[in-house]
Amino acid sequence: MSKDKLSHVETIKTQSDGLRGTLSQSLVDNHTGNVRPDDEALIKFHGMYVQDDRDRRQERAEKKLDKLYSFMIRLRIPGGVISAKQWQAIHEVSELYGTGVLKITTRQTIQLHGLLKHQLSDTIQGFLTAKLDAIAACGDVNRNVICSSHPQVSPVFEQIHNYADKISEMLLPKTQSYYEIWIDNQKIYDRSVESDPLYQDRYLPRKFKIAIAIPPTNDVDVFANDIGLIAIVENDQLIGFNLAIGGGLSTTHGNKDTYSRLATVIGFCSSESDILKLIYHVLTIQRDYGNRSDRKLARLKYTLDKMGVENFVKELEKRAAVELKAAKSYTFTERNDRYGWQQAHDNKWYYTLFVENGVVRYAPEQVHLVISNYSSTLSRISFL
Amino acid sequence: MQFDPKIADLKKQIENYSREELLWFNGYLSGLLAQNQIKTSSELEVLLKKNNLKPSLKPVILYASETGNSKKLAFELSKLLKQNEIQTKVFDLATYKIKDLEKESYVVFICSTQGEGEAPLSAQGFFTDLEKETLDIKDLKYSIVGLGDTSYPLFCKAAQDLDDLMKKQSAKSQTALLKLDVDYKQQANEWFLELVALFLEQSQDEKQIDDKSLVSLKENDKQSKPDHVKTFYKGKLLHKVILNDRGSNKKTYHIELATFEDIEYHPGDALGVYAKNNHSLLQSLADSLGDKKRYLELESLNVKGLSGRVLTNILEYLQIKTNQTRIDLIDLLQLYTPLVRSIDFDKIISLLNPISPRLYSIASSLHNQENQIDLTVGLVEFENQGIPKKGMCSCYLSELEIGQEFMFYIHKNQDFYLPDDSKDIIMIGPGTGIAPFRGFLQERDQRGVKARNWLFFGEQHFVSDFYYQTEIQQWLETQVLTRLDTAFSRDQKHKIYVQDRLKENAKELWKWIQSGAVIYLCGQKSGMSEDVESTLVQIIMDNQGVNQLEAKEYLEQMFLNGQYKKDVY
Repeated sequence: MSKDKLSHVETIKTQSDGLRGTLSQSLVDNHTGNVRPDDEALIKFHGMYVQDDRDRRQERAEKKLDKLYSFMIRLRIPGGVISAKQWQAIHEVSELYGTGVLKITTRQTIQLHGLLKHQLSDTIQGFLTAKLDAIAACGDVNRNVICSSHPQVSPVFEQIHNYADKISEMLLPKTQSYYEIWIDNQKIYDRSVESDPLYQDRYLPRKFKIAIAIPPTNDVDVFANDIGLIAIVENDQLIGFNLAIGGGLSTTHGNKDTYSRLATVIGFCSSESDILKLIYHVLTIQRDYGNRSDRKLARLKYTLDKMGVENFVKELEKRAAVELKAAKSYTFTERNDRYGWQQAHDNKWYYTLFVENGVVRYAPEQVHLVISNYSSTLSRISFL
Repeated sequence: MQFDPKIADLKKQIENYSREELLWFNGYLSGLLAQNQIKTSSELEVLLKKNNLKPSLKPVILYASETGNSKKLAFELSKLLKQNEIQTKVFDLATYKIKDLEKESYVVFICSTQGEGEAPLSAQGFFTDLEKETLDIKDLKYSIVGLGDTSYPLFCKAAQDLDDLMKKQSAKSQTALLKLDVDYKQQANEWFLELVALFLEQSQDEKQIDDKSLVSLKENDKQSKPDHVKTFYKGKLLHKVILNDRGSNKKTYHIELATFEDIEYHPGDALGVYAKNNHSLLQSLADSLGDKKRYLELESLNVKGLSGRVLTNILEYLQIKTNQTRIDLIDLLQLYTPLVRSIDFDKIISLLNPISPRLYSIASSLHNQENQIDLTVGLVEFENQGIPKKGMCSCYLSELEIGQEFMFYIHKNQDFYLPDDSKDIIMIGPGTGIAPFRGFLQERDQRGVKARNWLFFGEQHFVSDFYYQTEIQQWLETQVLTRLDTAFSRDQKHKIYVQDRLKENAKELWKWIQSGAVIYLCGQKSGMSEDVESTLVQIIMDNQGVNQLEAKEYLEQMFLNGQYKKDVY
């Protein structure tokens, strides 16, 4: 681990008392639409971040009004699948508290923009009644796990898809602060159930992304993730996953030390429990060896290159007590979406809709009503 | 006057004093004077006891109050009388039975004048009864104190009307009608002392007052005539901005005006502004009146929202009728032109009143910025018979161009000044009611006052209607503002108002009140101020363990002793 001075966010995390910080006080600060500076970092772990409308700054300053702060909230939807009822609930919440606009993201989830601070608790409570949450949707933790969503891709699609849920669940922070702050207000949780062997009090040095691809389709861009799982299907049976680590495309403009990197395939693993252990310990290694002084160089790809792939794999096998097998062969031949009516392997039909920029506005004659009219018959909605 | 050598002496004493020191002394001297008045009254008391006099006269004080000033004076007089062992009772004209006048021996009326020379709303029933009924009050003695504002054309008109009505009923006026202007305090106190002396004399030998005392009171009356001219100043518009952000239902202007000379005022004072009519309106009005060229003659006359006497007179002159009780002259002419044969321009002008000044709480402190006065002006917009209208003066101010000059005067409002620096204050100022409190906070900030300040503010929306938000944030940061509670009524399903925040904080409020904090209430009279007041009564009931009546009395006492101050409109 770097001996350099820890970045300020690291101090905020370790002193946050399970991601609580002063969020409860921030919410009742009635003079501002923002949260307190340190809470700006913490609120991300609860699936939100704050922004202000830069174009309005000057005009509002002349009116002696503070910046126009609003919040984005991003849901945690592993694999991007929700029920029709949940879709309806998200719409309703966005109309009640947000701008009425939903944004479907490239990581298979939904964001609402333009929420005011005093609307956050109501929004989160509205989501909770539809069994939806925003925990760890942003912040230095494992983010929304994405997975190929096209039923047509494989007959074992659903089995593979379940992994997204399992992984997401396993990698959730243990702190109950989300419920304490946004739902129950003052209820104090038993801190012993909050002990978090994975994230401890430091969480990860940086965000962490996991994707699951089902060849021959690579619609999730599996090599651009910190962890990529490539499903190996033989004779319509899932036999395991190739594990790829250290992907990431982002670079910081003008910072020569940053670079894009495709994930390296490090082997194959067949049993579910072993796969989960391996994933878990990729995170513990990143937690322990990741760069905590320079956030620009903190993603897993830098940790991996710093340690060397071989050393990393050795450490991983040791920690997980799992031996990786040689990677199985696979072929990706496409990464496009299949629009329009499609038939799945069980002969049922489904429809793929193109949503430009993922933006869905409230328009009664459109999606919203169509879905509420058919919500009893529509089985599921997934985001590609 | 024998003051000249003393003045020279004084000038010498203070020649090296700074402006701040002089201001301080100004306050010190007023305090000293106030104390002296009490001393004078106790001197009277002593005199009374020495002569072992037992006053037999039991005067009744009847007040008609719109803003509470008459009421306050009524109770001050009552206190003074009681100190001198003169039994007295105070009644609000709103609830006083007119037949009871027949049982009284001496009545002191304290009556303010509203709007176009009318009595306070609460007393209008009494006026009507007094006009209609025949009372047996020929032995009743009375005095009348009128409260008014010389800036208005019909100064103390209601008090004058009352005097006429009493005379018609053959009651006996004992003192000349006392007309007091807005800076009435000292004059009222002096007059009260003389009144006490008069009562004592009357009690002493049970005879009609002698001429001497009557004369003395009359002389006093001479001074009170509206012959002293208000100081008018010229200012120019420096800056204006709508404080509301896009999407708001309100248009509240922050207006900064530059003054050309040093003008002394205190936070709590108001600015009296004379609006002028919009020229394009006047041109079409003058056209309707038959002479478009003479439109400028109408510039300072009130041609909007005609009502009461003026409306009656104009209708009479034009020989037309309308069901409307309030109408713009131009609408009246446009609606009824077909029935009118010819209109005499000069006659119409003679029937109109000059535009009355409008008062706006000053939203700044001299300590913060010399030669600048800030206002917070809510643009009044409404509909009359389906025609969209704007408030005359708020519209005038909002349409002023940068650099444009206008006339104003300072309306002293001593009853709404900051208390001494040791006292905490609780400011309740939703909407434009925040204006004086911005001045208060600027003042206390600049002077480094250590006492605590608690602000309650409310409007419709947090995002668009949080007046002076960034300044308030600054005051919180520097702890000039100790506490802030906000109520944005339309940010959630159920409406939340400042009084709800008062309720939520009742315990803490009570602690502040118990430790002597002064409560200031500013803003809309109807609705807001009534709701806040009933909440305060509830808080007193809960914390003092008293019933509603007693709690009201408690609040009344707080008002009378200056712990609860109101500036509502």
